[in-house]
Amino acid sequence: MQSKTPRLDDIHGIPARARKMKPLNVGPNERVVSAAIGGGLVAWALWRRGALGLLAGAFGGALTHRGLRGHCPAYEALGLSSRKAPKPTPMPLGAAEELTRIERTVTVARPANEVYAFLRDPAHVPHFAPHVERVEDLGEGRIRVWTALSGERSSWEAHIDLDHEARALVLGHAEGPPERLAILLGDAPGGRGTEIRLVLELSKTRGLLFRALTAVAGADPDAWARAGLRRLKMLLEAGEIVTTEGQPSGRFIPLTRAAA
Amino acid sequence: MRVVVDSIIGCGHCFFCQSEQYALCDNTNPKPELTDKLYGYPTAGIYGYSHAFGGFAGSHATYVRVPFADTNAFEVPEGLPDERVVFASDALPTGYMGADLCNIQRGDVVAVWGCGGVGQMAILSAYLLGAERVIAIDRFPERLAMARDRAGAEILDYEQVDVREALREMTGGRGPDACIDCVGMEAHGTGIDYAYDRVKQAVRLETDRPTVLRQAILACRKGGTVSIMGVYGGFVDKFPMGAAMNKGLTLKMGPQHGQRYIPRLLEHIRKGELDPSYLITHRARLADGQEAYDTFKEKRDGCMRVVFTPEA
Ligand SMILES: NC(=O)c1ccc[n+]([C@@H]2O[C@H](COP(=O)([O-])OP(=O)(O)OC[C@H]3O[C@@H](n4cnc5c(N)ncnc54)[C@H](O)[C@@H]3O)[C@@H](O)[C@H]2O)c1
Repeated sequence: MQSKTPRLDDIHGIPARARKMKPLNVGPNERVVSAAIGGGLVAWALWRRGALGLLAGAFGGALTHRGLRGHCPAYEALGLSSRKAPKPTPMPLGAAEELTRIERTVTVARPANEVYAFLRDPAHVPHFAPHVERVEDLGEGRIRVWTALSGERSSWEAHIDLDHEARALVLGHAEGPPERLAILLGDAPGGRGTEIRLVLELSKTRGLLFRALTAVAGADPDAWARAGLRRLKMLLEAGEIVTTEGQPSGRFIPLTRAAA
Repeated sequence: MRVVVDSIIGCGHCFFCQSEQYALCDNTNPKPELTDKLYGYPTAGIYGYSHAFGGFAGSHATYVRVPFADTNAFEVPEGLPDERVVFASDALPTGYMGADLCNIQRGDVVAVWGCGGVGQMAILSAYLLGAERVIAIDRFPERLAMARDRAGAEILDYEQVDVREALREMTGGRGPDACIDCVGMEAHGTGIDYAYDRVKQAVRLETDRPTVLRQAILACRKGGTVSIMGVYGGFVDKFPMGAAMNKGLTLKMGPQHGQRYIPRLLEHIRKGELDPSYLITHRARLADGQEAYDTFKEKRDGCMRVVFTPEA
């Protein structure tokens, strides 16, 4: 087995879609100085020309950009910042991450133990996870997930890395690069139920889970995650999934009636 | 048993339904992607409305499927004719909520923009909730007459008078304590701002025409409430935020939470304190639907509301 038992704090953070990939790391005074010197260098380069001018121009341009933008790649590489700002909430994985992380959260007006019990029953999964047909319990913490898209069936085997009553359920697999499907549960404040966080760590290079998901969700596993959470919430709160499928429409007259 | 079904669908279980904000339900819109993007979070499903609100079929049908019927359907008391309760599904709770959001106090003067079905119901509701006087604004003579004769409002024709000046004079220089917008994004107008909005809409720089909203915010007394029941869909321009902020206004708005109000409205109707049936100006068979809709849309022949009778 590849994966070691994960720590919950390492799994969930601020998702990539909410992060600025080039955060401000140059302080306000330094930005002014940087832009001024950069501007001067560019002006001098235009007057001087030649190889030295080119060099000065490029360097000046970079300094100007750094000043205007407030982001310095060199500082970032060195982990420095001249901005006096509080450290942000820790974010799992750096900018150079090799995994695609998908994180989606939903609040369900149900207590965590109820949510957990519902999720833990393999028979429930096909009702909310799009295109999942069946989840088979192979025993010893292993499961097999069967998916189907327009008749095309496939399956993958996963093991349960972490199973924490009313807190977390983390799935991994033994093949290829490490990937993860984690469901974390937390109490919403004020008795508002449970916050359910779904974290998918997918490896774009040969990832089994990545391939399994793209097979059913196309290029958008994020939409798959959102739809799944929405359906899960509907089932847990309202007891059914609302649909307009099959309703009559004045626009699309059913063939049988048109023929009659 | 006969029931009234609210036009907006609630699941009855989510945070919003539990706090009686049924029209904000989390679980009844099967196509939440669009409003999720446009508004930040998706809103509830609605019958016979845009696909952004779920694309549920409308109710002109032999059968209507009602999700979560225990939350959305309300038994009609014995002995009340259909005509008196049919508007308890949409226009009546909308008007009532418009007045309810105004937190009406003794001696309050309420101004209502729009004398359509929703506006008429807002006038009646404002009186039920204790308003001293209600002033109604529109331009169609037959609608204004209805507001005066059937709902008991004082009336203003905005094509004849300057609404803001008139309201100011009629309220002893104070301005109305509460203003209810029962017109929405398709407001018609007489001023330069109306022309401005038409042009901006034509070139897609603005989606909604907030003529009435602007007027209501400027007309409202300091510290008053502007309650918005007329629907807005996207973006508005030249929103008088300075007036709203510096006059300390309370702005309240939203799709109607009918399930919160229908039981008490049916009770008012049963006791004879409320009778919305005067909104019916026309009757038609379903087979004549298209013509009836045209009459309604163009407000021909004094049309306020058409009632369809499937079997007639
Ligand atoms: N919030 C909700 O849940 C909800 C529910 C139902 C309807 N609505 C909305 O309420 C609004 C009114 O509905 P309705 O059925 O009564 O519509 P309606 O078209 O019958 O009535 C609107 C009235 O406003 C008048 N009007 C137009 N411009 C005006 C102006 N500048 N000043 C004063 N009056 C003006 C029109 O002459 C018309 O009589 C619509 O926007 C509708 O979409 C909201």
